[in-house]
Amino acid sequence: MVDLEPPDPRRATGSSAGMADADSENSALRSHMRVSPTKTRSGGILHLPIGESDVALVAALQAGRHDAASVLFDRYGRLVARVLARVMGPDPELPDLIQDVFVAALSSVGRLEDPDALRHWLTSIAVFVARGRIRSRTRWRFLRLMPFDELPDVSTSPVPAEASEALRCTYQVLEELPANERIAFALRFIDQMELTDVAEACDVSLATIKRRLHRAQRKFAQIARRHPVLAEWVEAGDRWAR
Amino acid sequence: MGSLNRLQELGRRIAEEQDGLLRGSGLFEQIRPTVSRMRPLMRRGPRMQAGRTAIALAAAFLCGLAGVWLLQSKRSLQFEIGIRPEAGRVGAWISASRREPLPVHFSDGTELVLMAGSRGRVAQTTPHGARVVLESGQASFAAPHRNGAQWELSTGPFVVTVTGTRFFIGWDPARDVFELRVQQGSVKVTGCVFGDSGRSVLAGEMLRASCDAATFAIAKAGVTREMEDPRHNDATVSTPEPSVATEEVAAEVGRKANTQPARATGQNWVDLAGAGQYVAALQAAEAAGYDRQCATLNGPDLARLGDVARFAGRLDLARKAYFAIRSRFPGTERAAIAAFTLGRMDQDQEGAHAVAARWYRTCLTERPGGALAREAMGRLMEALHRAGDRDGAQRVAAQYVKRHPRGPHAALAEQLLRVGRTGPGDR
Repeated sequence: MVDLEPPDPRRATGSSAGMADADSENSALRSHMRVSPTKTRSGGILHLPIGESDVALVAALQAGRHDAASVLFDRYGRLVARVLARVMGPDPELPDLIQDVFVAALSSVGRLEDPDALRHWLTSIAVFVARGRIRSRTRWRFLRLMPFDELPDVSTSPVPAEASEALRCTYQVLEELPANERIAFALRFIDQMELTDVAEACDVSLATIKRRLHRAQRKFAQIARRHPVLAEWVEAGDRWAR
Repeated sequence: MGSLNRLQELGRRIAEEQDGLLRGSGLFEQIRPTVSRMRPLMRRGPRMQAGRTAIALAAAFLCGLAGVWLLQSKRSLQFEIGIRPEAGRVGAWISASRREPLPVHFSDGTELVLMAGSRGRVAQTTPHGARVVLESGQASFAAPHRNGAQWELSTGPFVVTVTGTRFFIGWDPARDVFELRVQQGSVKVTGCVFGDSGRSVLAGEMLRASCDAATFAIAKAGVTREMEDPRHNDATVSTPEPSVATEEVAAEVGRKANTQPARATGQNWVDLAGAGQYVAALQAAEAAGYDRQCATLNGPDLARLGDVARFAGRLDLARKAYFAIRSRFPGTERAAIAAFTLGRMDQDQEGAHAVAARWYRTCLTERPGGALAREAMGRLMEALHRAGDRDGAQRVAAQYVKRHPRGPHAALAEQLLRVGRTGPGDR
């Protein structure tokens, strides 16, 4: 297998710019040359950056390039973090969940037939990981010790102080919804995804996602009225109250 | 349709806030090194019938991504050593030079760094982790949390079992000193003074132990707990000697201290508040970073900070502190009191009786038997009455006279009930 170093920003090589296109890159990948990471006797190191298209990136991932994971993270790390944050809310396990998504992606990228679907595919992995964590927490909820009165005030989550009461209450309400309805609601109303994209991310039909959203909306509005901040929002609708 | 638009607008605002928090969190910089060390495990063969046949044969694993984990679980972890990574061999000794640390990267993203002059080996790898032996010296360890992960670090007679943590470990065989500082997650230490049942060490705790002396001590930021080895009745425990690790943690704690002196007066905000100088106390708190205080103070001090801001007339800062209590300590008595106080601010300072009523209800819902339950019920009744909800006020009044017949709002409750029985014309 080819083992080529990514461009070293300290060493500008004219050849790297000229060889940036996917065809040249794939050709080099198939040549099965091994280039030592150290300087060659001729003094140059061949750097082939991964092309900007998803086709090139998927090819690099499937070829096992050492730099492909970091490129995947640079391009899609924020997407993955955003999807997870929408579904989970302010969550101390967010870094672990992001890593879990990339572990899953890197382990299964060999099966990705359509490189153009890379973005949607990563989104669906993120949804899958989030769903698994939500369900796992629901199963262990009964282990919470009661009562709280005797326990010292221990900060239970690193929710930033600047996070508003509305943000916190929104996810408190979402925690009371079943996992599938919570996910559908978060992707549609918070991430503002199109219905078809929500259905694809959740791997269900459009009809199913519409039913889930309808139930989620109704329950959310019902529960939100119990929270002073959200009640104002749900009832008045035109004032952002803290 | 109106409610749909409202939900969408709420969602948009939530998303904006989340994106801001993500941008300021440093999350990507934190995670990138770990992900960068991961390697694609699946190598794509020729895109031909053979590959498609393999996929067909493995169809049972393709329900969602469940098959991905099964396939990964059958392969032991690989690891690489050094900055210009070389493949590692199980059982081979690994030594860091006297001048530089030596990193060891595992294929699941776990990183072990042998400090300068330290020596160890990877004794065994499995699909779920590895067993590492630290022969001498110090090492840092960072493993992303994975369900089912099994890592074991042994050093001298001590064994540290982890599932997903970050910690610093040291072993000096000549002095018989074992040190462990957990930065994230938790670990369990067995062996020697801890026996087979072991002892958990949590994030923020430091452990120091000596096998020959049969002693161990655990230090937490600001607190030192002295422990006895239950197996030796006459064992004594020394407080941890100042070590580099202890001083580093102490310095870190000092930087996060919640009572830093005010630049203007040289006194911290707690002292100024104790002297009744609320404006000066608030200035001191702001000088030390009000948002940071809200994020790091313990519950009692955070409540005190909110009160200082309220007494100093800064309701916006007071709300920030009370909201921080509710975010960081949900479900506690203190969170319920914060809800009550927010209600009081809305009612007394803002005249927002309907909003105040909701806060009082929140307080009563979260703590129906709490310290302020009687006051919350009385004020709820008053707030509903002043907001024009006569029926609601009367319902609460009926409950109030039953539970608190001699309470401070009993007279109001009786009056509201009389109006309910006889009509508004008789008021």
